[in-house]
Amino acid sequence: MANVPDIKYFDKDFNTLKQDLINYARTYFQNNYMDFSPSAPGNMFIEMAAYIGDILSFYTDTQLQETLLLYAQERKNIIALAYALGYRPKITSVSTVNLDVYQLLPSDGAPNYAPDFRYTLRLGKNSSVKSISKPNITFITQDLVNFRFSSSFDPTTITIYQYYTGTTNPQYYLLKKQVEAISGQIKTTTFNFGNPEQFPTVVINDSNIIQVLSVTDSENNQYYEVPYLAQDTIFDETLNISMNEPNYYNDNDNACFLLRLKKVDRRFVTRFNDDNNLLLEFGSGVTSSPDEVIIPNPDNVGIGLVDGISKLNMAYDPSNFQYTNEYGVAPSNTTLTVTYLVGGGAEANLPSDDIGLGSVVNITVDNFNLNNSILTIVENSLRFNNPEPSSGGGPGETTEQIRLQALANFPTQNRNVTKADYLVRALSMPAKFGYISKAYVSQNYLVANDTDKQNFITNNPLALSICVLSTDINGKITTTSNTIKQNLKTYLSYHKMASDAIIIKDAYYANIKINFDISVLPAYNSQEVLTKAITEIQNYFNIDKWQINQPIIYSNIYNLIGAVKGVQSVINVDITNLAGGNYSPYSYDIKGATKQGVIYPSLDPMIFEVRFPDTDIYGKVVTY
Amino acid sequence: MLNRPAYRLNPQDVGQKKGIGINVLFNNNTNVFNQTFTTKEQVKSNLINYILTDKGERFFNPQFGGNLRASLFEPDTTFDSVAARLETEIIAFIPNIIIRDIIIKKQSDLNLINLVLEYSINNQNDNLVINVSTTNLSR
Repeated sequence: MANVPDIKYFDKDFNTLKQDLINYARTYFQNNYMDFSPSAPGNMFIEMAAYIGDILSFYTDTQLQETLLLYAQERKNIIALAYALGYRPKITSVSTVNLDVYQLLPSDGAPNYAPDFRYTLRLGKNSSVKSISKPNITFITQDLVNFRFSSSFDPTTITIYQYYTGTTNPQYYLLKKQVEAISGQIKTTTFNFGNPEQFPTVVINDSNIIQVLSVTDSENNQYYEVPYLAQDTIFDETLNISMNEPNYYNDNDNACFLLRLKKVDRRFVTRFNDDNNLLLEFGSGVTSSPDEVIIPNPDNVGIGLVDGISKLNMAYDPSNFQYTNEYGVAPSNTTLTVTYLVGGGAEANLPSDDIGLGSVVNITVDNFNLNNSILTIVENSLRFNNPEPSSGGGPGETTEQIRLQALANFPTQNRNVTKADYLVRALSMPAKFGYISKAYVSQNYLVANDTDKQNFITNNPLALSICVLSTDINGKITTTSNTIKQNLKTYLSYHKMASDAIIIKDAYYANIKINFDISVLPAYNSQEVLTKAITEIQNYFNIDKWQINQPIIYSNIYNLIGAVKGVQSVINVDITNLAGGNYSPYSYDIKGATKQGVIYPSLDPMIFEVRFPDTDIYGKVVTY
Repeated sequence: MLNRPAYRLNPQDVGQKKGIGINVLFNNNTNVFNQTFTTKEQVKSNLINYILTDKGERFFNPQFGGNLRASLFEPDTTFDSVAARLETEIIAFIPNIIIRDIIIKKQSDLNLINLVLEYSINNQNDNLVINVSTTNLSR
C-alpha cells in the first residue's frame, strides 16, 4: 500500500491546525524532531504555519460569505450583489407631497363669460418650488401639469375668481390641479471624454443623489438611463395630441400621454458605490452604424476565417459582437453634461401650507394668438401650495435593508409570470397613460369549428386574456378606450415573458338595483334604522371593493342588513338589472343567473356595479 | 566505598542518534536550522527561546516569555523580583530543569541587563549567560 500522508482537511482554526501539524510531525518526522514543548524553538515554526493556515481559512470563509447576499457583511459587496439581483439601492429617501397648483384663467367675455381655455398653461415636469420656512429645501414636480386636461384621476377644478366690476359676469376663473412633488435639488456637472474607450465610467461625487435626470453631449445628443446596458429600449411618453398621434388623440381626455418604446443607442447604467457616489457606465460601441447592421448574422459571423469543411466545428468568440452598438455608444471626444437630482432627508418633511416660494417653472402655452398682457397676468398668477404636510423624507436604506429588499426583489425580477403578476401590473400602469380600474386575467380559450363534431371550447395554452374596465370622470365603470388599451399593451410588453401572448379585451359591466324590505324593532326609529341599512349596502357595493367575476350572494346581503342594530328581520331582498341611458349598455338576466341564492356573473368576464348608490339602493320598513 | 554520582539518562539520549529539536542559532552555513541531538542541548535552546521572548509576542500564548526587555527601565536595582518571577515561570514552562541560581545585573549607563542562569538537567550542571539591551538581545 502506498504511503499516503494522513492530511486533515477539516482543520480551520489555529489550535486544531497546530495540533494536527504536531501529530503530523510525530508521525512522519519522529527521528528528526521530538520537542513539542511550548518553549521549543521549533514550536514557533509550527505555530507560524498554523497562523498562516488560520488566516487562509478566514479569508476563504470570508470570500465565500461575501459572495452570498444572505451572509455578506461589507456594504460594497451587498450593494454589488443587490445590483446583480436587479435591485437598485436607495441612498436617500425623499419627502413627497401633493402640491396644489393654481392659475387664473380669463373669461371669453360677452355673451357667455365662459372660461377661455386658450390661456391654460402647461407646467413642465421637474419644475421646482421652494419651502417658505426653509428656502434651501426645494420640491421638484414629477409630472406635467396640463390645466387643459381634466379627468377623474387628474381633475382640473374651476371656480370663479373675480367678477367684472359691478356685475355678476366672471372676469377671471381660478383653475386648480394637483401634482406630486418630491424634495430635491437639481444639480449639473460635466465630464470630458477623449479618445474612444470601451465601457467608460465617470463618477458623480456628491451626497444624497436621487437620480440622473438627463445626460447630453456637446452635440445635444441625449443619453438615456437603462437598467442594463444590454437593454436597448426605454419607455417614451408623448403628449396625446393630434400632431403626435392622429389615430388616438380623440381619447386624450382619458389618456393624456401615449406610451411608446424607443430604441436608444446612447445609453448608460448607474450604480451607487459604497461611499454613496453615483457611477455612470456607458457602452462599448465606437461606430455610428445602426445596430441592425452589426448584430450577428450568417453573413458576418466568422469574417476573416477560411471557409471550408474545417469551419463547421469552429468555435466563435461571442465577444466579437460586443464591441458594437449592442451595449450602447461610448461617448468620445465630447463633453457630457449630467443633470441630476439630490436631496431627501428628514429635514424635507415640511408642515402644510409651507411649499410655494419662488418657483422655477418651465411654462408652455399653445399658440392661439393670445393677448400678451392677459397672458402675462395668467403666467404671473401661477401659485403652489401643499395642503398636506410632506412626508417620507429620511436617510437612505441601511445595509441590512438593502439586503432584505434585494432578496425580496429577486423572485419577481420585474417580470410577469403568474396571472396575479399580470393583474397587478395592469392595475399599476401610471394614470397619465390611462386608468385601468378593473382587470381580470384568465387563460384564453378558443372556440373551434369542426365540421364533424360540435363546436367546442378549449383552453388556449399559448395566451392569456386580460379583460379590463376603466372609470369615467365621475368614477363610474366604463369601457376602456382604445388608446388606453394601446398604452397597456406597450406597458405590459416590457414585463411579459417572450413566449407569452396576451389578448386585451373589454370586460362587461352590469348595473343593478337593490330593493329590500325590513321590519324594525319597536323601540327603534324606523327612518334611522333604514338609513343605516342603506349605508351598509352602499358600503358593501362600493365599486372599489368589487372585482370582475365576483358573484352576488343573497345571504351576505341578508346578513349585512340583519346585523344593523334595530333590524328585527329582513323580509325581502330583490336585485334587478338596469340598462341603457346612464346605465350600462349591456342588460343582464339576473333571474336566469341566480342559482341557489347566488347571482353568478356571465361566462364572459363581467362585474356588477351599483352605478348610483344614492338612488339605486331602495329600502322600506314594513309594519303590520 | 566512594559515592558514585547518580546519572539520569533521558531515553531520548540513548540508542540511535535522533534529532530532538532545533537550536535557536539559525546561522549554520549549510543548513537553515541546527539540529540538537541531546536533551541538554535542547533545553538550553528552549531556555534561550523563553528568556528572549517578550510577553504577548507569542500567538495565542501571551504569557509565554521572560519579558526581560520590559525590565530594562525598571527602577528595581537588585532585580530580585524579576529573578523570582523568572524562576517560577521557567519551572512552569520547562519543568525538567532545576534552577540553582539566577543573577541579574543592570548596567544603567549602557542600558544593559546581564542575566546569568545556573541550572542542572539530568543531574548535569549547565549555565546560560544572556545580555539584554535596548537594541539587541544576545548571549
